[in-house]
Amino acid sequence: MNFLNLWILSRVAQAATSTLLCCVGAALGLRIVFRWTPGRSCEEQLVMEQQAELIASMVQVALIFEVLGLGLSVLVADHLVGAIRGAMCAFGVLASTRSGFWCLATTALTAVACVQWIVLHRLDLMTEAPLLTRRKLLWLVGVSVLAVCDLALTVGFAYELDLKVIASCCSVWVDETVLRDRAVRWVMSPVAAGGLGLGVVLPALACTLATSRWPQRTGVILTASFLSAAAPFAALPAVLVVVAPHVLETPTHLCPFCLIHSQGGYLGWPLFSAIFTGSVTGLGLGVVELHRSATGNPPPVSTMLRSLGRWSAVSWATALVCGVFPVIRYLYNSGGVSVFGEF
Amino acid sequence: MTGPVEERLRTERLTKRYGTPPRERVVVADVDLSIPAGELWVFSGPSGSGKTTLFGLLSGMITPTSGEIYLAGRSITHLRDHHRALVRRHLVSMVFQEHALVTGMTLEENVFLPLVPQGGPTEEHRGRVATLLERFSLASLADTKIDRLSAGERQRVAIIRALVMDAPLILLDEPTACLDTENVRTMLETLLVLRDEGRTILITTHDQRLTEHPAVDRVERLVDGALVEGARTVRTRS
Repeated sequence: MNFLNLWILSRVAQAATSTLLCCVGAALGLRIVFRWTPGRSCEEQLVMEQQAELIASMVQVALIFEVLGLGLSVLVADHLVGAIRGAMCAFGVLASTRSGFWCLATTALTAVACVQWIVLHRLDLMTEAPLLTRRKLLWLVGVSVLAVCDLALTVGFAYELDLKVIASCCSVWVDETVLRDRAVRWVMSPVAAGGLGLGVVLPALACTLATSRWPQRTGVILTASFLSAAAPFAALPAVLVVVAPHVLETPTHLCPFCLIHSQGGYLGWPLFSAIFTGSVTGLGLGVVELHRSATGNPPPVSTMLRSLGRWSAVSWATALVCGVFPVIRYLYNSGGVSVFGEF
Repeated sequence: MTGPVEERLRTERLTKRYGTPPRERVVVADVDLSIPAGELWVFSGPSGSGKTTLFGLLSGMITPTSGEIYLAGRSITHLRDHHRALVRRHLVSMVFQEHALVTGMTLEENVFLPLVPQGGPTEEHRGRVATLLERFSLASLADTKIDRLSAGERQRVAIIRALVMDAPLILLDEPTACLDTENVRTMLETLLVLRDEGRTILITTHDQRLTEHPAVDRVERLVDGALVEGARTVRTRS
C-alpha cells in the first residue's frame, strides 16, 4: 500500500525509469565495447559510432534524472514526516527502517557517479573523434550497478516503511549521541568541527578557483579534486555542531534534516546543494585531468576545466556563506554571545 | 622542377547505402577518388546515379555507410557532427541543386548568411560580393527579396553565396540547370580564376557545355553509384 503514496510512487517511478534506461544503455554499450575498433572505416564500426552517440545521449538524460533523484528522495522523506508519528523531520522517516540511511547514502553515491559519467561524456563530446567512448561505456556498467542497488534499496525502504509505527527522531539519535558520548563530544566540539570544515572547504575553494584561472596545472587540479571529494566529509560535522545549533537557535539541536524545514529557514537546501555541487564538479576536475592525455588535450579541455573549476568555486563559496551567515547573524542578534554560552 | 601536388580530397572505398535488406539501395558504391588542389572536375551521369549523394558525402553533410573521406589530408569519417560542421564551414562551399536560399531575405542577406557564424561580412567580403554581383549582372537586385527573383537569378545568387566564403573546396551541384549560355560562360570564367588560385572545384552536371569544355581538368561518369572507368576524360592543361 505504501507504493500508492504519491510521494513514494514518484520516487520509485523516477528510480525505476532512470535505472531501466541506464541498464539498457549499459547492455547496448557492452555489445559495442567488445567490437569497438577505433579508426576503422568498416560499416560495423561506423554504425557502432552512431549507436554509441545515441546511447550516450539517452543515458545522459537518464542520469540527470538519477541525480535529481537525490533531491527527490530527501524531499519525499521530508514530506512523509506527517505520516509517521514521532518523526519531526526526514531523519525520523529514514531512521524508522533499516534501509533508510543506506538508501540515502547509495542514492548520493549513485548521483556522484552519474555526474562523473556526465563529465566524462561532455569531455568525450569535445574530442573530434569518439576517443573516450570505450571508457565511457565501461564506466556506464558501474553506474548501472549502482543505479540497480539504489533502486533495490529505494523499493526496500518504501516496502519496509510502516506508516503506523511511532518513530524516534533526531533528538534521540543525533542530539543525544553527540551530547552524551564523551569521545564524540570531543571530536564534535564546535571549535574542532568548525575548524576542520573551514580547514578543508577554504583550500578546496582556493584550489578550484586556481583551476579556473590556470587550467594547465596538473598538481593544482588534482589537489582541487581531492579536496572537493574530502570537503563534504569535513563539512558535515561543522554543519551538525556549528551551523545547525545557530540556525535552530538551540545548542543541543544538531539535526541536518531540520535545516530543510521552515524552522531552519530552508537553509539546508542551498547549503547541501552547494556542498554536493562543489564536490561533484570538483571531482569532475580530476576525471577530466586523468583523461586529458587520451583526448590529445585540445583547447576545449582547458575551457571545460575552467568551467568546472568556476562552478566548484562558486558552489564552495555559496556553501561557506550559507554556513557562516547564520553564525554571524546569531552573534549579531545576541550581542556577541555564542549559542553554546561559552567555547 | 615542380614539387608534389597537394591532395585536397581523397576517398577510399566510399559507400553509402540506404535501407536494410531486401529493400537496401546502394547509392554510392566503393568510390575511390584522389583530387589534387587547383583542379576542376566534372561528375556527370544519369539522374539517380548518386551524384548529389556523393557531393553530400564529400562535403561531410552525409555520413558514409563505410569508407574513408580525407579533406585536406584529414579524415572526416569519424568526426562528430559538430566537428564535421566546423570543418565544413572552413573548408567547403556548396551550391545546392535546389539553391537552398532563404525566401524571406534579400539577395544580399542570403549571400552574407554563411558569414554570420564568423561575426558577419568584412569589408573584403563586401568588396568581393560587389564584384561578383556586378559580374553576374545582379548588382541592381541586391535589396530584392529572393521570392521575387527568377530561377536563373536564384541560381546565380546560390553560386555567389558559395564563392564568397573563399573555401579551398567548392562543390556545385547542377549549377547550370537554370542558366543561359552567357551566364554559364561567366560562371566558368569565375571558377577558372578560382581554380588557378589553387581552389578545387567539383561540379555535377548533365550539361554538355560543361562536360565538353576544354578547361575542365577531368570528367568522371557515375552510373548506379559507381565511377565508370572507361568513361573517364582527363585533359592536360596547356
